[in-house]
Amino acid sequence: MDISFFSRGIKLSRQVTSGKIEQIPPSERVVLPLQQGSGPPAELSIEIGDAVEVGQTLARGASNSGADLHASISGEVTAIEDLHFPNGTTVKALVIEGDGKDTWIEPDRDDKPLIASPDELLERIRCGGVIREGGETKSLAQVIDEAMSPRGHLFSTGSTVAKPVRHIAVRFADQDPHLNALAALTATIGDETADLDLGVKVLAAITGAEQIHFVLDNKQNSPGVDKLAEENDYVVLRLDAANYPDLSSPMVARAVSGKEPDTAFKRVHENGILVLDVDTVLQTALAVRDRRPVVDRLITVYGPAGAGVFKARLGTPLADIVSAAGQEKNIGKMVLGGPMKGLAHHTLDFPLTKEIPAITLFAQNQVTLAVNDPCVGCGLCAMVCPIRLTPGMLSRYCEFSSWDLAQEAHLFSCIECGCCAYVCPAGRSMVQFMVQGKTELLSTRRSES
Amino acid sequence: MTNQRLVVSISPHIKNGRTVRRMIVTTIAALMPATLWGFYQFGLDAVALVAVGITAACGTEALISRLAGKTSSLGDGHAVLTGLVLALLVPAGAPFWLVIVGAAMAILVGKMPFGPLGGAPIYPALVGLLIVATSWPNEIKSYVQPTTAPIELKAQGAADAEFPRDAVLIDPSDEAEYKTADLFLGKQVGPIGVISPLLLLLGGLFLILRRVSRWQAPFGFLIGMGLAAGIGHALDPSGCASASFHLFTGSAMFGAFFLCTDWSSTPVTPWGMFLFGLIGGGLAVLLRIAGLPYGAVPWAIVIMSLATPIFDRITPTPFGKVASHA
Repeated sequence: MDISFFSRGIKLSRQVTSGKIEQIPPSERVVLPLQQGSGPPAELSIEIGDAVEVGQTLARGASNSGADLHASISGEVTAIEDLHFPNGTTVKALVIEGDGKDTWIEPDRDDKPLIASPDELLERIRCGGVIREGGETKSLAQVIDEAMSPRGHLFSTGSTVAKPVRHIAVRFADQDPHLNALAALTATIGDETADLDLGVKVLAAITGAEQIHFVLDNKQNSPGVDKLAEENDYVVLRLDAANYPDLSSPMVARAVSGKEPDTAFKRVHENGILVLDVDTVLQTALAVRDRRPVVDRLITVYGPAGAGVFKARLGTPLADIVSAAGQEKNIGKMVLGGPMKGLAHHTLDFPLTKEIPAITLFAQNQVTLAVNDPCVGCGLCAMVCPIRLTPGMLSRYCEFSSWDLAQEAHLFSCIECGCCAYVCPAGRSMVQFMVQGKTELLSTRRSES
Repeated sequence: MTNQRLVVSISPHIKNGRTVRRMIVTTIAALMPATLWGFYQFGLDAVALVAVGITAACGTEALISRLAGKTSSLGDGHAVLTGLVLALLVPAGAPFWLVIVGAAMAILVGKMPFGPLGGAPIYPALVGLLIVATSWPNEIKSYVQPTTAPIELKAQGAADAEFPRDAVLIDPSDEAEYKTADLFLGKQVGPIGVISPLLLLLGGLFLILRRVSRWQAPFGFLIGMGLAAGIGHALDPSGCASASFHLFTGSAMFGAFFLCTDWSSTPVTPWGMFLFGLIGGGLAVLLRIAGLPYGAVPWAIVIMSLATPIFDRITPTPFGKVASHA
């Protein structure tokens, strides 16, 4: 029995969306990394010097379910260069110099995609380069594959063997309430729910999901989505996005299934619950019907000057997006993602990739350096932890290299939401300790086996 | 622009701005109503003792930091809080040197050997208090007649006999002399800061609402005391005073809201805190009945603090895990 009585998680301020999405024109030069999410990088299928059109496949996803990479502008592939990722790895990236014409490939449209076999639909999603972000970013086809086969790496045939996906939850608001891209997208959908409808039905057809849930923020007003849900007997669930991390995948999974998924080692989708963002669902619909691959993405730019939602081609330099948002002055820190979970990067000289849901900017005077004082044992972290861990204790175990104790105290259940660090009066880098502990334990395990 | 290096750090990139210093200042603020009541009841002597306590604690901390070659941690306010709490637990008639020694011991023995804030296994002010109380058992009972208490203070010389347990007379035969309402409103004899259960309760609730402390330990403590005293009173009315008498006298309220909610010396898990309080409350009543010469509540909390690592093992079942009863 939990006797905390206070709701777990933290209250954050919610960004109000204007419901406007600004298009950023295709840039003259794009950089497209072959690495998309976790897993091996995509394999090149064109050559340097080739002329490409928008939507042309540049690289084929590695393995059976890796997502393809497509040209996001028309022009010439001029080089392969090294790109430093914020996580410290170096990745090969293709450079396309644009011709300014923005000519698109013309794929065969399929107006009745639902009569295709699930395997065919899954292949189209893979070819469309659809990525599922949030938690561990990876190819949507791979996620579905893993969700349906308990041992995905052995039986990744994409066929209907094995584990049923019971629930699909479509999220209409960002996990981090500071971001509002998904809410803005939902507002623009309005009554035009055909794509959404198709996307959901395609996913249901592939996975055989028993129940579809629409997860909205309780402040969101979306008659079109409500109507679609009513017509199809989907469950509409309204959660409080301001109570972070209630919209994260494990919490949504709990809300839709009534059961808490195990967050250690097992991904949420391996518990038979698929939590997807609404833009992923729309991309799915376009990929299977129009055969239109993912060449652009929706991004929130959140900074000192407020938040705005933009749509930009993949590979566009982040500096261009930041300028378009009018936030290029006096930048002290840039975070790829929201302020709670994003990854800081040292330079704006980085392309927009499928994995970047948002750019968070801090002015120079807003940047504070880490304090990382010793734990005072106040217990605030234990009070807010949505996973009901004792983060203060875990951070001490990791600080003093007691990895085994940390593992016993369920370190691997940690979802790295950052609530503990947000409230920590000693300014401890809690997430740093958790990640370090996990990495140490995993590397020991690997060297032992 | 291209070569400009930006700051990188681990997520989250925002914090709620809460600092150790602010939490300690909030705690001190929550103690203020009870402190002012003590000043009103006991006059300038009380003011002087509190000032001396705070000065001694800060001075000791500064001196030791200097001798140990550490950067001074005075800025977080913990030394002020320690000195204040110590002085509030001492009666207004106590000599200055008693408070000075107590505050110095609190910092010297209770806090500094355990490293930075958060290391102390026992609440430092209690360490100082119990050291002086054990060393000078008569001086620690230099109770003074409060301005508005309806009961006449018994002769000083009889202090040992008449005020034997936990600062006030807990002799059931005298209970009839006290009105529960008077006790609750703070018209009683006792150390400077603990005589007003009402103001301490308000201060404690303020801390809980500000999320500086949690409800589990304080309410566990009060429930534990209430239950133990209630059972004891039902079994033997002449040997054990009623629950309300136990709860509203001595440092019961102070202990519940300001000692059981210390950071490093108390558990952090919900059930751990509750059981810590519950058992601590029961223990306090037991020590009072058993006739501990002084300070049943402080002793009970100190004893419980030693068991804190055990209570910290009572962790909630993590998300998605099946509760194990092994």
